[in-house]
Amino acid sequence: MTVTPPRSQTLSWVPVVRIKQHAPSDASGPGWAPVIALIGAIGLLAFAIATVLARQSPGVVAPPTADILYWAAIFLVTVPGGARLLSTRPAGGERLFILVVIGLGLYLIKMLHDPTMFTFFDEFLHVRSTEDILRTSRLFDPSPMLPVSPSFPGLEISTAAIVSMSGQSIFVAGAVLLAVARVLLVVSLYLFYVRIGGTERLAGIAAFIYMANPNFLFFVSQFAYESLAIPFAVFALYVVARRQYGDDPRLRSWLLVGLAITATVITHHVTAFALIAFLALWGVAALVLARRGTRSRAPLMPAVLAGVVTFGWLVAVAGIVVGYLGPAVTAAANQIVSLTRGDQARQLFSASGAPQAELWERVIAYLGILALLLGLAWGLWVIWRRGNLTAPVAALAVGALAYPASLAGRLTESGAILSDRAMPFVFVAVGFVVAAGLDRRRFAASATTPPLSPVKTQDPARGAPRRWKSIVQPAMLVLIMASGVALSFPVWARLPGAYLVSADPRSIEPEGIAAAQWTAGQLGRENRFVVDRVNRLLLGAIGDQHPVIASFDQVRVRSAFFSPELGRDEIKVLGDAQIDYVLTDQRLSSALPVVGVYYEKGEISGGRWTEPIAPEVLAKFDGVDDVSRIFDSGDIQIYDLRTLTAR
Amino acid sequence: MSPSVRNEVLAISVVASVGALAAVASGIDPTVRLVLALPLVVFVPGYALIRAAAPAAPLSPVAGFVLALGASMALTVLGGLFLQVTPAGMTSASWADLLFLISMFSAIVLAWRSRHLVPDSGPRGPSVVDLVRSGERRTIAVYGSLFLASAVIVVAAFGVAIYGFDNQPRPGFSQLWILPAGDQATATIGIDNDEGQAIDVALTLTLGSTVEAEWPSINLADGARWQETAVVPGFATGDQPLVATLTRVGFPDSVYRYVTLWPSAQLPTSS
Repeated sequence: MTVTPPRSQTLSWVPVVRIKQHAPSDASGPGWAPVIALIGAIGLLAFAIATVLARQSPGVVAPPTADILYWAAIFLVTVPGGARLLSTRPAGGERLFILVVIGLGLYLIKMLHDPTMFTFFDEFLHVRSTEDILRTSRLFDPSPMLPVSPSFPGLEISTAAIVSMSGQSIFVAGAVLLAVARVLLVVSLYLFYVRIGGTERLAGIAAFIYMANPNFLFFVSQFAYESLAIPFAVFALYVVARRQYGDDPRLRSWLLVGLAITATVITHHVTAFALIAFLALWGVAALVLARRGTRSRAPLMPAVLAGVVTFGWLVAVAGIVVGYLGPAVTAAANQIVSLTRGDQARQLFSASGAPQAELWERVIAYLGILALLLGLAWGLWVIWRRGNLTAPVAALAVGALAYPASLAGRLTESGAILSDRAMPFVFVAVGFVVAAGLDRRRFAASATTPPLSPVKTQDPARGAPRRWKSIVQPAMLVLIMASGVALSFPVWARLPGAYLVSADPRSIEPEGIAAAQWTAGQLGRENRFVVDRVNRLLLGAIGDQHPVIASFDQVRVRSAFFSPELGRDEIKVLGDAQIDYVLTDQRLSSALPVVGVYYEKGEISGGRWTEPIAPEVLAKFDGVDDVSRIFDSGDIQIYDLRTLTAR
Repeated sequence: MSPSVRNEVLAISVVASVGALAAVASGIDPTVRLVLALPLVVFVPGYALIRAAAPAAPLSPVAGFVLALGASMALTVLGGLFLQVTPAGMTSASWADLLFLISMFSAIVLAWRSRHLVPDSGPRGPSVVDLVRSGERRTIAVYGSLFLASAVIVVAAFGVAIYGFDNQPRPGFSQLWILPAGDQATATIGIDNDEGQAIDVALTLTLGSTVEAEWPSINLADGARWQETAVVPGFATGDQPLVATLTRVGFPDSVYRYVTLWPSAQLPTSS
């Protein structure tokens, strides 16, 4: 059917006849994509073997063979597809297939890391929120693990829907949901780039570079709210672009924009803020360009809608987010200011109880950042030199400048966290700008013509690319991807392995899980626990208990946890916090905490442990009158403090 | 209504109905339910809605796919907010009802708004059947084989990873626990064996220097639980803890686990 939409339903200045011309050539076949999928699948098998070897090793880091297989897997999943995307030959359909293969391949690497349960820190927090929804059939049940989580329940709602309708576990439902979200992200991103004026080649390269952001491999693959919110936000950008160029009749356009923006806001706070920021930037770019005589329409209504929905949600439901994000931003700002005054910078690639990455990995990481910075400079120059900017391209160009700015934040502890979190947003712009530099003739061709001009996949008159390009461009993409992977996760966490002290996924093991299950079965739910960082995750998500920490409960019980004796002061602290039980894990005294803390941030003066916690500290509850040692599994003990704290 | 719209409405109705039925049916394997119900969460309502919103504006396959996907997933999130204010809340039935009704209502609107659309008489792209007949059979077979081989390898990769998880060397452990059992003179004692093998253990229950009860040999298979309720008359009125000590048979002098219970201990909130 080729019915043309009524003119009244489209933008008045957009020739209706051009609407279908700009659509990517998705009618074409998958081309080399099946072969690339097969190679990627072999890469996944290599990664699976790497996990087996790593799990058999008692070391902190994986054995060399496992490491080689790890890098081989990354290479097989990403490089053949990346090389094909650089080619001028594939049509739109093949490029999309390849991008989906790479996107899903990288997601499956995360799933193969722990194929039977969620083990990442944030995942436990959202598992608890999902369980609360399934238990009560209601939203907004307070979470003792991440109080802000129930206020942004998009991920949990979707997962709970699949669990309820299928009878599957939260793990399976969440994994399937995030796989679908990954497809939504990759396809939306590619179509967005195409829609705002990029060629299919540029869009493919840009989406590939996006997938090289350090958070793509693990962080936004985990069961956490940003992993669903970012696909929603990119989807929102795509439907806003469609609206700006009049692809959809008014009703459909508004439905899509409204749904995408609202879902983003409900799912994750920072992603909502980033979406508003980009839409505002897009709007400002359009206004500036309009003053310079370039016809460009600002996405004012979507930006206003995003702002209103976000403000309304914060006021009505999620006011807690101000207290949640505020301290993190303030701490980062303070640390950056301290850095400018000559304070010592954070040591990169290190953790207190774990080894650094190999030298060659650090070199690759830095070279990849350098390649990105050079690519950015070159891409910005190409965009600037060609002129005739469209508003979204100008917005992306300005947005990409956030990347070098974010690198400065990596030199401080808090700034590094914010910089990490910003990467999935910043790379939307970085990917496009760097790709514009790599595909400059084609980008220029579309940038100097009206935004709805047809896009050619191939330019027969162009001939073969220059030889230096055929070497430099693939090398640059490989370097950028390798850098992103090297920066994605600490060397001790990217593969599973033997138990490590306070090392999040490496500390999740059967004894802790069994202890948490025992509390759920024997003690009832929502008992207030003093418990270390890792067992807190298990007690909260599996045991359905209430682990008490300073940042959420506004009480500081860690002084009692770290005190060498249980005196009057400690008993008062525990009593004021209405503590019911304490769980101790003797393994904590065997090594330094890999993530830097045993209990919570700020637990040690100077910020860094230099020797492990003393065994006596953990054993101080033994032999105290009226403190029953009710559970013992060797490493883990649970003490009943209720009689003591009720006095 | 054109034949293509009629087919769309029919497809929406069938997939939504099957998904909704699978969601509320009992006795069906969860994996089968997932396969049948997932489209109702991530595709069908969104597809029906965007088609109903503009029946006269067709979408390319890729755009239609991604718009349906995004709209459906967003609808599910908003649907959760809607169910929050209904008496039923979020249950399998309410989810199935809501997503089914959105899909069917949109399909009806699509049918109604398409009733005057003229069927497309222009050239249409080749279907898979056409491609097979026209000699593309070999290409399709090659593509299909490659994708199938990829899927098989991915499944094998998960098999290998799960094997590695299940066979990771880990120290075994046993749990010993003690809890008050309602009456102040009684306590429940339990042992759970997660050593990865059967164990033979001895348990002694003492109050002060008095042995109140003794189990000299408890054989526990891997994964098994042993549980007893012990009555200790002097416990409730005394001021000493009840101590349960676990030793491995053959190593009587080496305490393997121990737990204590004071007379003042309260019942767990679960009791």
